[in-house]
Formats: sequence, C-alpha cells, structure tokens
Amino acid sequence: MKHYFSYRHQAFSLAINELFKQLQQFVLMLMTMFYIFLPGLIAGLFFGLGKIVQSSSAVISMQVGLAYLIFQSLLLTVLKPAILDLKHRSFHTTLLKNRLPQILSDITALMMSHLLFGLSVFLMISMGADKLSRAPHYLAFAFTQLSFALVLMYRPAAVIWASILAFIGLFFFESVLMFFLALNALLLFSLYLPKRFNFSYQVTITPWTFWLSYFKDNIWSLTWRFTMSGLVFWAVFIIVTERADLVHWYALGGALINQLWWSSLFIETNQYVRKHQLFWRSLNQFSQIKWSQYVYLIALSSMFTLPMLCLFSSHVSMWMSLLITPLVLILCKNRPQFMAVVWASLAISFIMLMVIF
Amino acid sequence: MIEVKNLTKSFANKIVFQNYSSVFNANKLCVEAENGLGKTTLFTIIAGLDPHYSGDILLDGEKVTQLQNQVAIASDKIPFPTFLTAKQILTLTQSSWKCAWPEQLCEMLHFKQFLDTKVGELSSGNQKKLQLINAMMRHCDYLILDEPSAALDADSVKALLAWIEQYKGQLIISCHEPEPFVEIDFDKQPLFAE
Repeated sequence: MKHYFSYRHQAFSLAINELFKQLQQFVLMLMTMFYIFLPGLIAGLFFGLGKIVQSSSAVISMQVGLAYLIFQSLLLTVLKPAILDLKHRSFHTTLLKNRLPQILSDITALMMSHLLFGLSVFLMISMGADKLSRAPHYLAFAFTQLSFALVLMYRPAAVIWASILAFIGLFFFESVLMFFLALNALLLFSLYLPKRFNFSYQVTITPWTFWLSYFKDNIWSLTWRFTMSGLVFWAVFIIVTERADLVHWYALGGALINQLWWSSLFIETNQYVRKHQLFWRSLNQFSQIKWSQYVYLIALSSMFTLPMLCLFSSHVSMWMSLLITPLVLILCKNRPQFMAVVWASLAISFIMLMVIF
Repeated sequence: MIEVKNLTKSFANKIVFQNYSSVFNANKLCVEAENGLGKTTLFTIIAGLDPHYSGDILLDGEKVTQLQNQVAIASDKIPFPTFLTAKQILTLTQSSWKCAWPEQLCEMLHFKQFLDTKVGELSSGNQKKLQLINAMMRHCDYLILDEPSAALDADSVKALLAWIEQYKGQLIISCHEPEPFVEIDFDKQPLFAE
C-alpha cells in the first residue's frame, strides 16, 4: 500500500510540474502585466470571503459565495487530471485490492490543490472560535466548498446541475445559511440527474458545420470560457454599482480580458487543424476549414464581448476594442505561441489611444 | 504514368529526398523500401497533400498544379477527426468530390454496420477499411494505397484484391508482404534504384 501512496505522490508532483510548465508563458505574462495589482488581487479574494462572512445584503453574500464555488470548480477542473492521475486510472486497479487507498489518495491530492478552500481555512483560523460561532453560514460555505470539490472529481455533471439550480435559488432565499445548506441538498439531488444528454442527431459535415461537432466534442473549452465571461460580466456589474463614474473603463477592461480567453481558443483549434491538415488537403478544403475557424472564433469572441460593451459603455469608440480578436488572429496566424504577448501589446496600445484621445 | 523529377524534401534537420527522380510506369505497382525511407512522404507529395517540396510531379507527362484533384490516397498518415462517425467522413468526401455514395464498397468490405461508429471507436482494421473506402470511392485515375492489407482480415483482403483486379486506373501501393498483390500481376519497384 505504501508503494501505491508513494506512486500517487510522484504522479501528482510530476503532473502539477507539467501543468505549470504549460501555463508558464501565460502566468508570466499576467504577472508581468498585472504585478502591481497582484497584492490587490489576493486582497480581493479575501475581500470576497469577507463579503460572505458579513455583508449589508444577504443577496450579495449568496452571489459572492456562488461565484466562488463556480470559480473553484473551474480551477479544480483544470487540475483534475493531475489530482486523480486520470491517465493511469486503470493502472491503479491492477495495484489495489479495493478502492479505499485510491479514494484516500484522491482526497489528499484534492486538499493539496484546493487553494480557495485553503484561503477559507486561513480566514476561519484568523477569525477565531468566538467570531466563527456568530457566522455559522460561513462554516456552511466552507463545507460546501469541500462537497462541491469532491463531487466535481467523480460526478462533474452534478456540480453543473447544482450550480444552475443554485443560480435560480438566488432569487428565492433570504437566509445565507439556508442557501448554503440548500446548495448541499441540491448537490445530493443532482447526483440522480442525468450525467449527459445524448443527441443522436448527426449534422452533415462541411467545413462550416465541422466546428459544431468539434465544440460538441470539446465542450469544456467552451464551458470554462463561457463561465469566465459570465464571472467577469458579473464582476463588472457589481463594481459599476460602486463606481459608476468609471463604468467605461471597467467595461473596456472586462471586454479586453474576455477577448484574451476567447482568442486563446485559436491555440487549441489551430493545433487540431494542423494535425488534420493532410485530411483537409485530401478533400481540397484546407483553406475553407481555416476560414471557418477564424469566423467562428471572431463570432464567439464578439458574441460574449458585445453585451458587456452595449450594457456598460455608450462610447462607440470603445466598441473598436472588438477588433482586438481579429487582429490577434491575423498577427498570430503562424505563431500562436505569441498570442498572449500580442494580445497584451494590442490591449495596452488600445487603452493608451483611449486615454490620449 | 507518374514521374517524379528532381524532388527535394526535408523535415527539420532530416533530408528525405535530394534531387530524387523516378518513373512509376506499371499500371499496378508495389513500391518497396525499408521502414522510414520516405515511401509515405513520397505518396503524400504525389497525392498533392504536401506542398512543401521542390521538384516536379508529372502525371502522364504533364505537370499538374492541383494533384489532389486526380490522385486519391489511403494512408495511416492522414488521420481522420476522431469524433466524427465513419458516415460523416464518407459524406464529407462525397460532397467535396461530388462522387456517389460508396454502397458497394461498404458492402464488399463488410463495413455497413460500422458507419455510425465514431472514428476514434473503430478498431484498427475498420479504420483501415474506412481509409480504403474513402480513397476508392473517388474513382480517380490515380490511386495510392499505403499498406492496404495491414490490419485487414483475410476476407477483406480477398475482397480488396478482387476490386483491384477490375480497377482501370494506375494503382501504387506500398506493402511489406506483397505476395498476394504480386499474384494478381503487381510489379515490384524499389523506391531508390540500386
């Protein structure tokens, strides 16, 4: 058994190192650009947790709590292959007589990766038993962080169901404690809801409909971007109620960040096009598949950016920021690895132009 | 007749062909060479799928710019998108090249029951069948089959040989066990002249 735990530890460390290597350029760029704001960002995370502990409005506490749970689900989904050692899952069964050591190793790796729960624990320790006893809803929130994380590992569909149902619940609950308790009940109930819908309908494949099948098969690449767009939209919405005078700048910032991850879809789709270029050439459709790829990416990026600009910014000049995605695609056509740097240069240039003119 | 003139092709640091010239005359021909010498690379160039080379490819003595219009190819080197079903792949080929649905070919290779299976879920033998049907359905004047009998069951090899015997165009294959093909009058030609 000792050998199994030691293997899982090694596999986890290796996978995490590999993941960080892959994200290195992206993380480095974000840190270089936003290093001044990093302490603010960490403070912001604590500020958010503070809003859950105590807020003038129960609705805000519930909203922030749910946003945290969705955000942690995104982070943990990225780490899930490393936490569960998904690549070698069937290998584990050849080493074990029962599943208990496997589950124990999963939970240990999960706890080591769950940074947002770590922050909650840190805050709870800082608060002390006395204050904590006056905020039982915060204990319920921390428990929900754990239950969501655990279910996400084995039954991710239940977390999606529970999050959707919880979103509806925001309009009905008045007590924060009851909301988080209900969230756990919803999660339990969601375990019995369908894992996936089977759409038996098959579209006729053309270079244009091909991407629909691609995204259906790679639904996660859309899901996390869609969720992040939703969270940014929500964040801008909350911030502008506090600083309405800076609404244009927050809307622009949100729109630019939004375009970063929608443009980054180019890296994944481009890898796929390159891998299958002989196939598309054999059909004489290589240029069509590349065209349709650009059109889909620009359409998706605009679709999720436009509402933010329409709702929060009446300055038509700021709508010019929609051109960032097409420009990133054109400039990174042959060098997708420089996408983040190109986006950053274009975004900064655009903001400078807005400030000057 | 397929003629290759002064072909130079390299990958990163490796030169695969340098000023290579060869004529593939026979109507049914098995190109022979050890693994890794460039058979598949040459095939993808002749089929017009790889534009990154210098030299000329001539079909019946004429230089052709859009080789893929006249040459069909089946090869493991051309991976199909794994999330599409076999039927979707064949429909895409059908609409791209305006050819008929390969009813007979599917029946001949006992592939009908796998049409709704996703490419990623097909066995290696069935993936080979899909490649073959996908190339053969185009009824081109030039056909290249890279390792056509690899992973195929005995019945399917027999059916394939029967189809090849009645095929009128020029057919080039590569095969490490060429005996069944030689029996139906295939000529053997080494990739590089001795």
